[in-house]
Order: sequence, then C-alpha cells, then structure tokens
Amino acid sequence: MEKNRIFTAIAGAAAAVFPLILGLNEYYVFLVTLIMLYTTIVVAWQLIGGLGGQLDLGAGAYHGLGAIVTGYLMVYHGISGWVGLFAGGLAAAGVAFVIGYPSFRFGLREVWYALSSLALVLILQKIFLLWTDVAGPLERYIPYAAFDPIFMRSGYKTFYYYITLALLAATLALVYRVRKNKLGLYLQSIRDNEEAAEMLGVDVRKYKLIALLVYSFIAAMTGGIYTSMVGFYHPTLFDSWISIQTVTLSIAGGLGSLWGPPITSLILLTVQEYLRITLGAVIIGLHQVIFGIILIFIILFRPEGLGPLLDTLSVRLGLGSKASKEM
Amino acid sequence: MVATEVFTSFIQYVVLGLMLGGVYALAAMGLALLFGVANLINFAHGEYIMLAMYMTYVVSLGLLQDPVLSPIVTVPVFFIIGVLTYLGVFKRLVTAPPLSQIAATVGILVLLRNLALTIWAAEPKAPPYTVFATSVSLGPLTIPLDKLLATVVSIAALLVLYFFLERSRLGVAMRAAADDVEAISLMGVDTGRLFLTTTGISMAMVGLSGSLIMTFQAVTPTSGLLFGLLTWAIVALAGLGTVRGILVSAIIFGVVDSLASGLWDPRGREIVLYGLFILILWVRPKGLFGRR
Amino acid sequence: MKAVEVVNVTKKFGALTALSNVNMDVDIGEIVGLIGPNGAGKTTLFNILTGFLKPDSGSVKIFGDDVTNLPPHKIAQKKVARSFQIIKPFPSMTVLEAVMVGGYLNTGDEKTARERAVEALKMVGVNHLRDRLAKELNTQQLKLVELARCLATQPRLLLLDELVAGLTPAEVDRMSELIRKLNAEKGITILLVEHVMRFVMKISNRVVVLNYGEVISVGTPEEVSRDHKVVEAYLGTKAGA
Repeated sequence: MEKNRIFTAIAGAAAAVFPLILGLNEYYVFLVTLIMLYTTIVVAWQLIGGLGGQLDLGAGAYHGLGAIVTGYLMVYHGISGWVGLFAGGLAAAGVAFVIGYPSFRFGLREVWYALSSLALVLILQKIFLLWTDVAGPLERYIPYAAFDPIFMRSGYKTFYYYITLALLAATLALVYRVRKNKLGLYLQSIRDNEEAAEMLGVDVRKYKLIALLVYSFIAAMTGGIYTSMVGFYHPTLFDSWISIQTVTLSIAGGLGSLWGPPITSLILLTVQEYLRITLGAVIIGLHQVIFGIILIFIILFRPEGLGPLLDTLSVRLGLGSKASKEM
Repeated sequence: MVATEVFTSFIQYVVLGLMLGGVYALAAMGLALLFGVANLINFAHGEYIMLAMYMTYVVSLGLLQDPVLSPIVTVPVFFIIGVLTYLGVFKRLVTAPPLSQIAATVGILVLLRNLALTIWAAEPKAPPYTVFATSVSLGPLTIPLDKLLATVVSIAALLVLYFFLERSRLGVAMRAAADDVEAISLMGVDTGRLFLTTTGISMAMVGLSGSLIMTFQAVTPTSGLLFGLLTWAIVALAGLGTVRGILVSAIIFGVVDSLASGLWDPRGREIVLYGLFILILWVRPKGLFGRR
Repeated sequence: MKAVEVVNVTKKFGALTALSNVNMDVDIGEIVGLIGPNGAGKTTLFNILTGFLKPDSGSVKIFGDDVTNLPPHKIAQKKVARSFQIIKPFPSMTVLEAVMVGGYLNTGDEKTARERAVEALKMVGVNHLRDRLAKELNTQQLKLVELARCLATQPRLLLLDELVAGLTPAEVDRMSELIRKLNAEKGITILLVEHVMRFVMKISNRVVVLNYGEVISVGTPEEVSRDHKVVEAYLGTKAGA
C-alpha cells in the first residue's frame, strides 16, 4: 500500500536523524539505543512466541551469552566485535539447539517449556559466575577506543545507535516477510493446533527449532552490541528480567500483530526508563512494578493486547487494512 | 581416618538434605494442590514463598522475637492473602488458557519481587537468634535442633493435609475436582468456593513453609525464582498424584541440593537443581504433564 | 500395490486391547467404509494409520511404503490426509491461510500453495469464507474448512473420521456427492469411519466391520448388512450370551 510505504519512509528518516534531534547528547542516545536493543529482542521473539506460540522465557540467556562471548573475544583475544557478534549468535543458537531439540522432541509445552527456558537463564548465569577464566564474579572491561569501527568499539554512543538501528530494521523486515511466507504460516498453524498441523505435513519440531535458532541468534547480537557499548561484561547480564520484559511487551503489544509489539516496546520501555530515572533512586524497583501491573491488567481485561487497537488506529490513518495479518 | 571424615561429611549432608526435603515438600504441596485441583498455573508461587520468608523475618524481628513462633502470624495472614489473590486474580484465570495464566501470574511475580526489592533491598535477610539454635548429636553427626524441628513441623502439616484430603468432605471434593471438575460441579459442588478454599489452604501452607525454610536459608528478592523453579521441579518429578509422591520427590531434591552445596560449591547448587529439573522434564513420560 | 495394507496390527492400552490382529486393505481408487459399535477401535486404527500411534505389533503399508514407524507429518507428506472426529481448526487464522497450510505440502512456493488452496476451497464450496477467521465460523463450516485443508494437500488417500456426524439429510447427500466426485474425478482413495449408515452404505465400495478390536466382517454394503455377526455386534444377541 502506498501510504504504508510513505509512513515507513518517514519513520525510517526520523530514526536515521534521531541522534541529531537529541543533540547528540551521549546519555539520551545511550538510552534510546538501549530501548532499541530490547525492542529488537521483542521483535525477534515474535518468531518463537508470537507466531510459534511457544512461551519462551530464554531471552535473558541468549542476550547474556551474546554479551559474554562478544566481550570475551574482544577483551582476551582482541577479536573485532563484528566477529564477536556473529560468534555470540552462533553460540546462542548452539545452546538453543541443545536445549530446544530435546524440549521439542519430548513435547514440552506451555508451563514446562516456559519454566525450562527460564531455568536456562539462571543456569548460564551461575555457570559463568563460576567460570572465572572467561567471566567470573568480577567485571571484565573492554579496552577503550574513541572510535575504532573495525574493532567495533567507540566512546560515542551514536556509533552503537546506528548499528542497533540497522539490526532492528533488519529484524522487522525479517519478521514482516516471515509472517507471510511458508515459515510464518506453518508456525501459526503450530501455535493454533499442533496436531492438525502435523496432519497437514508440518514437521512441527523442525519449524519450532528454526524459529528458536533465529530468535536466539538475534537476541545474542543485541547482547554483543550492548557489551561493546557499555564497555564491560559480567554474568549478571544473564538477567531473567529481560526474559520477562520481552514476554510482557509482546503480550501487551498483541501477539498476532506486526507493529504492536515494537511500538508498545518503544513506548513502555521509555516509560520504564523515565520512572527509573525519576523514582528509581528513591523507590528501587518501582519502574518494574509497572510492568507487573500492566501484565495482570492486560490478561484480565484486554487479553488481545494493544495490537488490535493499533490496527484500528492505522486503519483510521488510512494505512494498511483491518486484519493485522495483512500488514 | 580421612576416609571416615569424608564419609561422615557425606552422611551429614544427606541428613541435612533429608530435612531440607521435608520442608521443601510443604512448599511444593501448595503448588501441587492449586495445579491439581483448580488447574491453575501459578508462576508466582516462589515469590509467595519468598514473601512468607520476609514476613517471618519482619515478624520475628519486631513482634514475636523468636522465629519459631512466626507461623502463628504467617499462616493466617497467608490464608487471607490466598483468598484475596483468588478473588482479585485467580478467579478469572481458572477458565483462561494456560498461557494467560502464566502471563498473569508472571505479573504477580514481578509485583512481589519488586515489592521485596523496594522494602528490603538486595541484602540477604535471616531471622535472629532462636531459642532452638542448639544441636543434637547423633553419633558422629550433628543435627541442628531448629532445622529438625522445622522438618518435624513440615511433616506433621503434610500428615494433616493427607488426612484432610482422605477423610474430610472438603478434601474429598478437592480430590474429585483434581480428577474431573465438570463432574463435581454437575453434582452440585460450588466450584468457585472450592477453588477459593483451595487457594487459601495452598497459601497457608506457603506461609508455614516460608517460616520453616528460614531455618535453612536466608532470603533475598531473587529467592522467589529459586523456590519457584524448585517447587515446580518437585511437582514435575512427583506427577500430580499424592502427598507421598510430593514428599519423596522433595526429599530427592533436598538431598541433591544439600550434596551439591556441600560437596561442590554453594553457587553451583542452582546449576545442579535446574539441570536436574530439565532432565526430568525430558525423560519423564509425557503422560504426566498433559493437561487433564 | 494397494493403497492401504494393515497386517496383523495389535494395539493395547494397558489392560485394554483396542485392536487385535487386525488385517485389512484398501485398493487404490476404492471407497471403503469402516464401521462398528462405539469403542470398536476405529479411531485407534486411524491414529495408527496416520502415525499418531504406533502399533504394538504388526505393520502398515501405504501405497507400498512401510509407514508403521513414521511420524504423522512424514505420512502426510506421502499424500495422506485426514480429518478429525473432533474438529481441529486454526482459530486465529483466516480460512484461506488455514487451507494454505495444507497447500504448502512438499512445496515452498506461495503461488502454488495459494492455487491449491483456492481450488480446494472451491471444490468444497467455502471459497466465500476465505477471509473469515476460523474462530468466527460455526461447526458445520469448520468441518468443510477442515475438508478443504485436507484437499489442499492433494492427497492420494483421504481418511475421514465421522465427516457427516450432525449434518442434516440434505447436507449428508451433498457430502456424498462431493466424496463421490473426489473419488471419481480426482482418483482419491477414501477410507471413512462413520456411524451414519445411510451415508456409509450408499457410497462405499466395500465395508469393513470392527468389533472389540477385531475385524468381524468384510464385504460389499449389502453383504455386510446381511451378515448376522454384524447385526449382533450392533444390537446384541437375541437370547443372551
């Protein structure tokens, strides 16, 4: 649709110059980049959770693994962060395979899949806490460089802003395409009724794995970017909060929709940061309490999330059509 | 000489593990009851246990001095918390699909965890001196009296629950609900009130077990995740059947926990526990996990 | 080569024997009806044929290939489609999307999948519902959509589990016509489980009767309806054991 393209173009242009709008303020650019990183995870999660219907709580594990692997390679082997991103992605996909293959083979679903993926976050955290050669209880610092694009390290947060923007855009494009092709359709059929899908020739385990591997790869890349940006890594990067946050934002955004989750993420994550800055020092943890309330509220009163609301809004604006699927 | 010392240590850890398991069983029983009877997935179960532990800390610090007396407060308070939780949230969740139940209770998880973080910050809290802080010697073994007492109380509570489920009308109704909710509602049982009571009892057990666990470990805001995963693991291994099944399963986990902490590294215990959990999920036959 | 060959299949569930040394086959191009009182083992046999269950002993061949130990999706990929006794719709997907899932069998091309889907929708007569969400439809419509889903896979063998249960006589007749057309024009072999005798006896070439997990009668509809063993199975014997 013509209007869709115009809208996307405007959004893209705004995103491209956003750092300038922020006056290149290091702190603000940092916050926005962070928000975009987490939003990228949310978008990637749509593959396994939104389309595939698996309640994966492993985002913290993959994000953390990407951070540790990328950071470790940069610190101890002087390997460029670009390679590190890729290596982190592979490591995460590898771990995802090791835990995903048996999980799907043994038919783990719903609460059991959710629990085992959450357990993965904590297991990895403790493993790297004990693995002092690679991580251990002390933070490991990446050598500072004002601007070393080959090493993928810079003191200027704007550098990371654009890397993240590229990743986010690529992930959005990926999910957009997948929703309409065979993979997306197969995943949705698995979500809606696994047995019926099997009977139509869908190799359920294989497609769940594909979704899991791609999502874990991307989540790991966000971790690698994060660690290069903040200049250190530590096992606390295996954070169950990232997992919970990802799922909350996806549900709030509406599981079926394309734009719902990312837009909701951008908004709510900004709200979260604002609360953390204003109240967080006084009342620790309040900014996260909001998420808890939102989650309960949505499930009890608006289980479809904001997705349908955003769709109706886009119809009013003359963009896209009613069924969110058509976007 | 050295060999007997090692052996004695080993037995010591096993005995501690058995006691720990006895207490874990009570913690897991509340979850099993809710899941089995009301078909409710409570992802925040661990956080409630954590809350009970904090309450024990506060109560024994302020009012009652000795943590041994804290169940007097925690049990009724948590029964009420259970009732309120049911009326506020669970009531609408009972008919919702599993993913919704998980999502909503994750919301409760976040609320409780951050509540704890706000009030008590991140340092571990342990209850103060208790009158039972002595030990009994059993041959070469040292058995802390407070832990022993906690285990005895836990097992006693489980026994009470067992007879309640077997003999009382309400208990039988609960067991029937675990088999077939539709059937009992057709027979005139008010399922709403049944689930309300179940939640209350489940939470009361959480309240008690929180106090008991405090004799073994301190509490932090992240304890919720640990106990959540642990109790779910116990339920997974036990299947949904019986009090005895939960007890056996909990004891296994208690012993594993104790051995991992003692023989390896306290920081490694979670790796072993969760790893065991995942293995159990893979290896146990599917039939035990299917929704009824 | 036969479409289906079931050889000495036995299946027990604990102490309950669902199927006991069942032997039967279906020729290519036939329409075979599988009937029997409730609990006779018909759906168990279907589940074994489609890979949802493995037999304790015996084997199953479909179009000459041994499928005894194959998972359901692999059997489906051999162009075997099955409808379910209790419908299994895809609630959040549109009818077209749901049927396209079938259309994507053994291909990755969207155009092909869509063409197959539309053809199937038209054959069944629900193309007008293509943009509706499955959760908006009633049971009758969902049954037809499920059939279209099967047809989009372009099956050689179609297994229908109580397709016409709950339909009005007029609807049953329309369904018979459709099944007959599928068989005659598309050459699809059909094996159907049914309780509605009028339907099954009218369109089947042959009928297999199961009772307590055993095959008690095989033959044309006329032969089988006159077989006293079949009558007994349904009505019980006249003077007790």
